[in-house]
Amino acid sequence: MEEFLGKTDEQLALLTQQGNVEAFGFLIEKYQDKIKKYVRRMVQGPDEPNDITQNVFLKAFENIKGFDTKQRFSPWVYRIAHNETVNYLKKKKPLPLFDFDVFLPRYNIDKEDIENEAEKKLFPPKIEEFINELNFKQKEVILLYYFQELSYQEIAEVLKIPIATVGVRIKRAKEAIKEIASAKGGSASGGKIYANK
Amino acid sequence: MQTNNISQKVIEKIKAGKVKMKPKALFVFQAIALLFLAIVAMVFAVFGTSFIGFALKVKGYSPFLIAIILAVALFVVLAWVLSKKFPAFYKKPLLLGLTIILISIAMVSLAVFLTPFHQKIMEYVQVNNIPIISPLYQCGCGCSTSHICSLPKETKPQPSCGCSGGGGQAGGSCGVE
Repeated sequence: MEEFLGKTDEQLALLTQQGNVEAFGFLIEKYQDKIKKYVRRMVQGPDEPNDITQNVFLKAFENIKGFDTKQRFSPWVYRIAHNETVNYLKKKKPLPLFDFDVFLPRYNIDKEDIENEAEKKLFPPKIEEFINELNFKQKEVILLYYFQELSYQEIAEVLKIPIATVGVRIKRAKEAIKEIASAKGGSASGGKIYANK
Repeated sequence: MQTNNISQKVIEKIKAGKVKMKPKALFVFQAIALLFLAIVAMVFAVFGTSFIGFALKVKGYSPFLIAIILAVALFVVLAWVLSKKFPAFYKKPLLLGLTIILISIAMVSLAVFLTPFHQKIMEYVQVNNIPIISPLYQCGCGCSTSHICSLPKETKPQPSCGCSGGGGQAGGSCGVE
């Protein structure tokens, strides 16, 4: 495995495409915790996250030759995780098909919105319990942005939606969290969300 | 250690040959097929739209055109849905993507409408019977092998040719020369 240490994800994906299974094993080691956390938060079941995560990597291996190694690997693997999660959740209950935010997002993105790393760090871990009360689409962008630390651009790639829509969803999700937090005794001030727990 | 199990299980399945990589050719084929379908949908939408203009010019309004309008709408939606698979489109708001498609179809249709394209086909189907195309021009323009249409500069609305009853067989003079 040490031979893969200095390599980028995309180089590892290229090696996998050339038949190097160990390189793919290294990629799994690197991503499995992140993917599993994402899946666990999305589906909230005891056993499903492991099965879904396993399927994500099996699908990733099956489709690895469809991955363009000039693109970034992480949005590609998260896209598979998103699809697997959506397929699983659809079996449980129908998800909304149409989202007006994708049709005509009314959001002006500025630099601060796109890469506000400081705000990402400020986002308190205790807020996680409020996130479970968000709707599916809001919850997903919050998880990808704050917990998986993907950029707006990467989230747009994962969900195949306009960047402005990512902005709209994050903004609305934050507003919804503020409302939930204040209703439960937390507080929201200065555009940041804090839970008094 | 559940996490490690995931990694091990996946690698074991791969090494056991239970999971295999799909060939690159499959992904190339899928991408080409998708692009081809999107282009075909656009071409049909352009054909339909320019045909509506042509039919209105030759015969005027007929209920048959409603079916063509619906078909055009279907092809536009198909082109729109397929286009969303391409980054150039899904990165834009859906309304913008739809607008781009509609404007493209409208402009190309106008260009086709201004050429003698439909007139040539109409003239051809009046002496040759082509499946789908001949009934289309019979119903839309009221022309057939037995009802020869011309395209005068000042076209008068043509009487109904009763498409439901056999396409262009009724209605007297459909611009008979």
